Amino acid sequence: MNLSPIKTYGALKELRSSFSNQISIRAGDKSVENEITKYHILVCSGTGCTSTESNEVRKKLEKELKKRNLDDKVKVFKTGCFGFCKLGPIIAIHPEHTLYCKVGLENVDEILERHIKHGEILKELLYKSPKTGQYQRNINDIDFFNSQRRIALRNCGVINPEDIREYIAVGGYSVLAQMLNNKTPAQEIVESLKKSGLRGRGGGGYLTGKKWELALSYEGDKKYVLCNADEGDPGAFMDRSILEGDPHSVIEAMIIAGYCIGADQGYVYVRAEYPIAVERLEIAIEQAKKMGLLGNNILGSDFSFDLDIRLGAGAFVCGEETALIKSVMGFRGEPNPRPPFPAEAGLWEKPTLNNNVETYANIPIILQKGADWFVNIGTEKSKGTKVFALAGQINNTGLIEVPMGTSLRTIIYDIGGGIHDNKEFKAVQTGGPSGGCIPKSMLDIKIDFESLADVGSMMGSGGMIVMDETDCMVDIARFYLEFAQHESCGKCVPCSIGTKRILEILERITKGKGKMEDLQILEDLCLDVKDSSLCGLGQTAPNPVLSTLQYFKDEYIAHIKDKTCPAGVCNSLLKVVISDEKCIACGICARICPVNAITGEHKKPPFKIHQEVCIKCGNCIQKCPVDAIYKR
Amino acid sequence: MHCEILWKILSLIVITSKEVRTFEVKIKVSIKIQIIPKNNPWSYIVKWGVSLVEIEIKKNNKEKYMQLDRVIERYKQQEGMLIRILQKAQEIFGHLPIEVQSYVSDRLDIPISTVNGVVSFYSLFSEEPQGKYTINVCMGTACYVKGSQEILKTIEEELHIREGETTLDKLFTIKVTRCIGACGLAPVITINEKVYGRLSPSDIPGILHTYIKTNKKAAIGEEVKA
Repeated sequence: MNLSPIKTYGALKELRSSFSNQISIRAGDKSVENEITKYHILVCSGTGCTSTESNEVRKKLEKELKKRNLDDKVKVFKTGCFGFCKLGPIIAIHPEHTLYCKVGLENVDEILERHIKHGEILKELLYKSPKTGQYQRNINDIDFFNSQRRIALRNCGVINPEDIREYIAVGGYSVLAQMLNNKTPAQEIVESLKKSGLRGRGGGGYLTGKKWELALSYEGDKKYVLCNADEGDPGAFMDRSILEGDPHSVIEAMIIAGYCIGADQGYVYVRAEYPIAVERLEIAIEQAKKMGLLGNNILGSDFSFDLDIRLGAGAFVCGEETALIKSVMGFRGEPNPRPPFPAEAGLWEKPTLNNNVETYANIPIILQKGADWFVNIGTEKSKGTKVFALAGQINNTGLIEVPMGTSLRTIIYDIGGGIHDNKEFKAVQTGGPSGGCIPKSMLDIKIDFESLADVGSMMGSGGMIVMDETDCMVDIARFYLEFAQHESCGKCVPCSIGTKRILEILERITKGKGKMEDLQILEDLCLDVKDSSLCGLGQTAPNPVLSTLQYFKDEYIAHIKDKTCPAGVCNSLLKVVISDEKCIACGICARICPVNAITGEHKKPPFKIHQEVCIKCGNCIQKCPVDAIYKR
Repeated sequence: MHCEILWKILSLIVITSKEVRTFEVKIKVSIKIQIIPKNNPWSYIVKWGVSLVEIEIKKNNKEKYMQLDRVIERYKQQEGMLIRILQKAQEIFGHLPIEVQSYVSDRLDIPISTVNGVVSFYSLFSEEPQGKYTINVCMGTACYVKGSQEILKTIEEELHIREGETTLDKLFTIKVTRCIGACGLAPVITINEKVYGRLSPSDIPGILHTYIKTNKKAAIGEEVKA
């Protein structure tokens, strides 16, 4: 790729208009009929689709096109996550916006032969709506997409993240260029951000404009801009998808932040577990440097800004602001008490502005379209949209973006396509290890920062795990506490020891050794840890326990009093039993049982398991030829 | 007798350091000291013995240390690069034994306690040698509710090791990781860089077998070359 530095705002505009023609085909522009290129095929190259061989599909497409001399007529591109990870690898064919799901290497020939040559649609690769049973060809008609509103994800699945010119063609870097050209005062930018009401998407929900104002107000010979891409919440992957699909939007926002608060150095702190995101970000930074959008005298102005990547090394607590700063400096990621806030004394004790990836991705478009546009989306106190990672026992797992104020029911049933295998919905867990479980009775709440906090959960970074009747809520609480306990850095006592004690009580309960007074101790302990911990990790770690205690107390009681696990998860409380009707008395189970717990007479059903002897190894369940043995 | 052994060890060191430069010798010696009181409390008989525990000869890591030198040289000037240097060191050595940590601490002129503090804090650093293939079983919430525990159990049973351990042939290490962000494909495992999604316990033996097979082929290939 031949990239030459851009020196002026005019040159950027020129590049934008010349290159936007080249990708107008993706907007459904039919006027390309006369041109040589008639199709653009976009292949999803996010982590989800890559692990289902989308790269191989893309390479084969390119190879076959060349073989057939079609490589002028049809162009193949990498693109970011479409969000529909469940049905990957996904490809989109423009200008008619056809979306093909689960495209395998074996489908490539057919696509070229039937779709490209003869204009025929391959029905078997289309998305079939489970509701109506109809095939949905156009990406905009699919249920999963048509209730969404994509702002932060606007370029994911649209542009090639490894080509800066495509980002420029869709209007990227124009806000920055305008600002540098007009020498817009920093105060003006901060004002419009404040007016937009954008709140931090990392979980806290602090007003972004206010944060910028604070960082601007502190004096310092050196200031820093930080991007928190240490997405540690299990079950959340929006930041990864943004970095993989649209890294330049984050880079542009960070440059704007640098211009605004007077910083000349930025760092992106990314998890090392995200190799593709790191690679794309590296490519993006390199291209931006080549184009003169990073480095000294950006776009011919007197403003200079440089950007570096810092890799995380696998510690959840580093998502916390002060711990992250320690880690960027190369030390153990242990948090510090606040104040002083990073805006006053952050990296190397200098004023530091720190925002989350999704927050940054929102900023260029807000400044481009104006605060008034953004204010009209969302609820009274939470503006704009939020990206959620839908996962768990749901049909359409993937990444979605909806306006604030959308109800949980819409997300789970309309976009998510309902519960997997038609099972009964039990709860949805939001906010990861810091959040809580929301029960069925609250499906109609309109989600925003306040409403989620009111029901004992939190927005968090936007993970949404759907659970059904087969999930035990006590076990889920134990799972989260195990996570928090493992990730606790050990600096403050309430978190490091408190979470250990909570975990011990929960383990006791799931093993059937709990007592009724444990519930009271559990609640008191949770509240104490919440009140007295040093950082966000400890302050929110008890939330999963508190919310399950609030909404699913009957399950706790069943574990303690009846010694049963209603969902059939907690192994110690389960019995292995033989179904009287199904048993054919073949005697296999009795023969393989290592402790001789099964007795019965050959060909005279039923056989019986003696519970006091059984060690629940499960061998008999596996070996039974008629599936007559199960855990209850 | 003891002196003889010591003498042999010393001569071995001299030989290896002079002539056979491509080997590094690690000698473990145990010294037993016995203090026996005599009849009166102010005099003792001291008996001591030396026994050779093991001699380990490994390939010299000189080249690896030179590589590490280049990394340190590159990042030394910038502030806060300790984690990056350790990450690169782990790439070079495969793990971070205490010798490498002390080397880094010497070269950067920071206390070894700080270096070890960082190494022991972050879960991606390992002080123990790792297998050729690291199996990371995702234990994020999405994978957990989709049955990743069963997957982990199957892998442990197949390889006869527990989570955090390495197989005797140094082929596999099993680790548990927290969410790699492929929740749409839950449950997920990664083996080195490759991601396997939508798994069920019955898929595991087949996946592991492909690695064992390719490794055997590679080993045979090396033998043929040699």
